[in-house]
Amino acid sequence: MIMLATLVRWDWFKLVRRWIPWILLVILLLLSQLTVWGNYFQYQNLQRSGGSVTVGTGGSQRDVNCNDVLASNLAKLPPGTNAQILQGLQADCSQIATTVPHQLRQLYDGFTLPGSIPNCLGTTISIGLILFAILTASVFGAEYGWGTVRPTLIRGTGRGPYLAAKLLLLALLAAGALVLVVGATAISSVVAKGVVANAVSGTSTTWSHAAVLLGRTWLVLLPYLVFVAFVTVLTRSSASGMAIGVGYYLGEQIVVAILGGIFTWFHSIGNYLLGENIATFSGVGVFGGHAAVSGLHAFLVLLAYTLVFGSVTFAVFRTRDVTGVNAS
Amino acid sequence: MGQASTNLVIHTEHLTKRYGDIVAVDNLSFSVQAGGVFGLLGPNGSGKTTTIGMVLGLVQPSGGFVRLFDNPHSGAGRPDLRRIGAIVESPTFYPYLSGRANLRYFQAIGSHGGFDEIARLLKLVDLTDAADRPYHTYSLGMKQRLGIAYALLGDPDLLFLDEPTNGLDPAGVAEVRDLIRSLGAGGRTIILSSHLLGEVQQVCERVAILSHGRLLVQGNVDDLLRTNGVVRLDTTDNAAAARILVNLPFVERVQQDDGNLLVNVAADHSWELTRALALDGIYVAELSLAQISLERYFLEITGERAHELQGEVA
Repeated sequence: MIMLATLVRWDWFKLVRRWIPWILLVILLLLSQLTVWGNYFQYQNLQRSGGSVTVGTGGSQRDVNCNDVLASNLAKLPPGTNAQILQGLQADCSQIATTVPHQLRQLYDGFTLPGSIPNCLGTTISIGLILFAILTASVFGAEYGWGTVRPTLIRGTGRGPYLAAKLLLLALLAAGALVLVVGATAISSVVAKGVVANAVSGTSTTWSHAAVLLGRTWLVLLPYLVFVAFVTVLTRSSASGMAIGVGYYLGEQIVVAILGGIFTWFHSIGNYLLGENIATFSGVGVFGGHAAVSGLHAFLVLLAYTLVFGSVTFAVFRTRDVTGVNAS
Repeated sequence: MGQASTNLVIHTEHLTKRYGDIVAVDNLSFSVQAGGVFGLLGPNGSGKTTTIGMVLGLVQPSGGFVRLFDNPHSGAGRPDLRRIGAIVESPTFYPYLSGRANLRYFQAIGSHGGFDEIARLLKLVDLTDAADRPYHTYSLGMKQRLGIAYALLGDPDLLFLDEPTNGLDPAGVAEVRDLIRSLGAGGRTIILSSHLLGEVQQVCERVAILSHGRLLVQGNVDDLLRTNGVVRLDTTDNAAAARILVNLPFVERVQQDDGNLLVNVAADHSWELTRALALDGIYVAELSLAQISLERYFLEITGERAHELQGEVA
């Protein structure tokens, strides 16, 4: 354990001096801010406009605010809007107005605590999986590229602890990054709530729900992290690790969409795919869809992926010869 | 520096490494006694680096075993490795870290030493001024010197140096040669693998020569070169002398060398050379027992024995 802790500490020493983790963290934080402030501005806009309807035909189409329509504010409506058109628009806007309070509550929830947290996690995890795939491939693959696996092992570092330390560091970094995202989201949420005009009441999200989602988001990162580590160690290349790690993320969604649409039996296979179960277990809408399985099923499938990819990665690394640069 | 518990720091038996049909190391058995500088020689592809890799636990043997400090070899991560320093092929470090940070990292994961050791090693390899520059800005010679400092971390009992003077200027080569000599004199065991045979001859007391993954010969350098039975001759007519000597039954070979003749002859027949030449009116101006260079010996033995080995395989 002491050796493992030492290795984690000194892997951190190396990683913190590289650009890549900082760049990826900045992207992740910017995304969280985009989510909070995107919701804020949509909320402000919806409150100001009360929704919108389209007026005119062909090239002369334009959107008008429902608040102007319902207030019969002809000055804000396109020239030539007569009473008949106005009546039709008011009917449409009246229908829209019934959904506006719900939309406002959802948007308000999206930029105020605690609802902003799952909202941010949902957005950032979609990109976060790609960013963590890149970081994982870089952490493992760069060592092969620089040929530094060999001098590290020569110093007496065991192969098992060498891999375990990197995986542990990445898991800790994932937790740290999520905490930072939540922290930044919380600060922005407090600010946004302070400056917003006409707050609406009633949030559907509780703090415990937000905490559970945070934990689940971190947990679903782990099997993907192990999967990318497996690919990178197997190919001994960060480029391959990144390409396959990111490619799988996008590829699974496409394959599931196409084959699931053609063959009904494919849905049962989809229930055992990595991405589908990540989506189900995290519950934050990652990977586009959710498998039609329970949370326990998703957890067990993800656990199986983690154990299988992890075991094969360790077995390959332990038994393979370590030679020169790019061939360790 | 810790004390080796036995006199043998490396002992291999029937060590073999196959890559598919290719046998990189073939049934290699050799031992290295503690202390001094041991040369591991062989042409490219002879299996030197693979052998070092197996000794260090980086390469899994297909057969046989290695014992270090009389402990059974069980792969990388074993405590024995903490008594070993090594640079294998060219040194490799983290390009974005400074030389000092690289040493600090490798020192920390090896769990020994302090900042003062790093400062001392950087001074030893003359990198103090460049210690805080990123490694990727280093010249080839500086990288090589950092590699030597890395290998010396933890004051190891056994040191593997694979082509340690690669990329160094003549002054640097001389410095490293002196350093190797002094390290070997301090009770440490150094395994030196180099293509510069002149360098090996100057610093190694013992050598092992490999070819095609097999051990051709192992022994004390002076003994190997002396027992080869070469006599250096200078006569009144070297060209005529060479024609006469090459026909004598006890002469194996005659070669021109720097205006003299080098004659391979059994020791108890050397006096007969002068008589045979005198009978033909050629007189000896100088006769001495020659020690051929390690380079010549190496070329001879790798050429001859490799030919034999190829014949065996065929």
